[in-house]
Amino acid sequence: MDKWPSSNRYSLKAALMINYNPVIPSLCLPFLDLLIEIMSIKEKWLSAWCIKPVGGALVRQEPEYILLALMGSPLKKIMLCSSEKEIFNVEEQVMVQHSVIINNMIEDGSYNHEESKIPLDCVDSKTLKKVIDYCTHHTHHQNDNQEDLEAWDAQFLNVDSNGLYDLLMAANYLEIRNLLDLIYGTIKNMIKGKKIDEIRRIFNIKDHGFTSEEEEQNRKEYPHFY
Amino acid sequence: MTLPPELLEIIFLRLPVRSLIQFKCVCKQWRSLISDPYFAKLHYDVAIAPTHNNNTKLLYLSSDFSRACCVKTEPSIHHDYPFKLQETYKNHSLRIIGSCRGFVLLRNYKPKPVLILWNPATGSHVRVPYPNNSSNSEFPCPDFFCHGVVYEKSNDDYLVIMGSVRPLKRKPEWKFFSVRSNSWKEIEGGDCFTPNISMGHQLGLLYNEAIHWLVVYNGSDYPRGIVIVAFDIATKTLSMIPLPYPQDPSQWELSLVGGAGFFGICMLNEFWPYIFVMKEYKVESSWILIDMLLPSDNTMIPLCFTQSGDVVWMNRINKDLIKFGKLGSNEEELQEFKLDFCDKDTVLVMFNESLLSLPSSCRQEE
Repeated sequence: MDKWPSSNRYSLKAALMINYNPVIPSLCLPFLDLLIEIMSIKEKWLSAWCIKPVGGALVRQEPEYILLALMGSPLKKIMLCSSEKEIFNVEEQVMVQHSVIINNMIEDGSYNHEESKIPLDCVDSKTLKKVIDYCTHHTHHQNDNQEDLEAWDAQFLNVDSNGLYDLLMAANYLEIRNLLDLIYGTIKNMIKGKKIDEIRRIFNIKDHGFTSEEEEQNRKEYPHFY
Repeated sequence: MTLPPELLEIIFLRLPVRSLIQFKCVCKQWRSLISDPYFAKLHYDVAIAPTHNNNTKLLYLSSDFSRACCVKTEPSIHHDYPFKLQETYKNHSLRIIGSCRGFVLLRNYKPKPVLILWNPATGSHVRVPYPNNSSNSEFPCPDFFCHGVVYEKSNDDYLVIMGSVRPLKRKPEWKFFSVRSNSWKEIEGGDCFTPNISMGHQLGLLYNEAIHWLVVYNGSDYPRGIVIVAFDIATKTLSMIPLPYPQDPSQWELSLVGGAGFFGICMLNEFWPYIFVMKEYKVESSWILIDMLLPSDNTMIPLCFTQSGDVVWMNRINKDLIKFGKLGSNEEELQEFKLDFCDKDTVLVMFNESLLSLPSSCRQEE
């Protein structure tokens, strides 16, 4: 504790003075990151203060002092702005859990909760709504059984080719790993075993770029592909 | 939807080789993406990574030499799509003698002896010239018994290795061919390792950056007998690995067994087989007898291990395949699998398909 900078010690004291108030003032936030980092190395510091991790939160045991620290408070919301300038309010924890880009933005402090909104110029409202839908469902239902989740995912991806493309671009931009894997898997299943003409249709390939001789050669060599 | 190349690449990396061969015909952009040698390497590395739960397949030539048939071993043994063979190679002396990274080493005797490195998936192939040994008029002559093809990572090169024995002098000769330099070189220190003619042609077992065969050892530091010889790819030297216990070749039939990260030897006497695996590579004391269900007669020879720890066996007479697993599994449930288009000379090799192409130094024939 002595090695910690004085400002952080102050912050801890300030945090500990909070009774029954689940929302931490912003001055404590940087200190909490430090606490969580230290958690893995110096458990004894935490045990001295009776703080233990309870599912992503640090909870102090004594009833007089309830220190509730969260990596993104569940009640805290952030604002996402689509390309059509529509604003969506989402729980911070939901987006932070799924999107690497948004997580980085909030972690490095470039995002100010009170004032700014995150502009997502390459994602339109319809797609953004769907992405938020996905992240929210997966955060709130993460303890569901595998079959239910898979069924929901299948229903979620029941969109047309353009919708799928938009979702893929959005998930790629926001770096949402599990949604990306899901979409890649779906595309893979869409094209595996299909004939070439069908694939050209799905991917909107109007001009295949082969000369007529080359195309004829291809068809002759692999007739079963067409 | 029109996907950008980076995302297309991610999707392609998840597709099997066969689909990618087809997708080369979709459009020019896809063709150049898939034909890129860097992509081929990335795809192969992803496909054989241990996390990918990939099982090596088995490949063999059909009895009419019109195709190379492929067999998958998991979850149960079943046929995969075959690969077309070139018209020119359709003759009865064609034989598979090695396999590595999607390439198959073939040897042919008619019209004249030749070796071929062939990728069944892409169809590209290259002729490997026989070693030019003017002092020995018996080369090319089919008396090489240890053969194989390996990959030298540091040089991105493919090496063809041959161990032979001159019939009159009984002196062993070990050589390797490098595709990049397009030449044969002698392997040092091969005098003590004599291929055993009675074992016939041996496919080498690739393990731990080395390829292995069973040979007769004449060195002074070990009693004369059968040992495993290892050709180390990096240093190009031969070294000896002793067997679990000294063997009298007349009593036992030996064969090397590998796959799924195992390095093992099968010893078959007149009654039934035993399989030993080496827990620690090259540590003599680490041979252990594996504890699993085995065939109760000597008509079966083991082909390979699978990722789930089973062994695929082949019946010598009718070439049926059967998978034996851990002790306690139900013997009645064992299914025999019949190979299509096989005959008594059919040889199966472990095979991983790939889009890879050979480094250019040989003339590439399409």
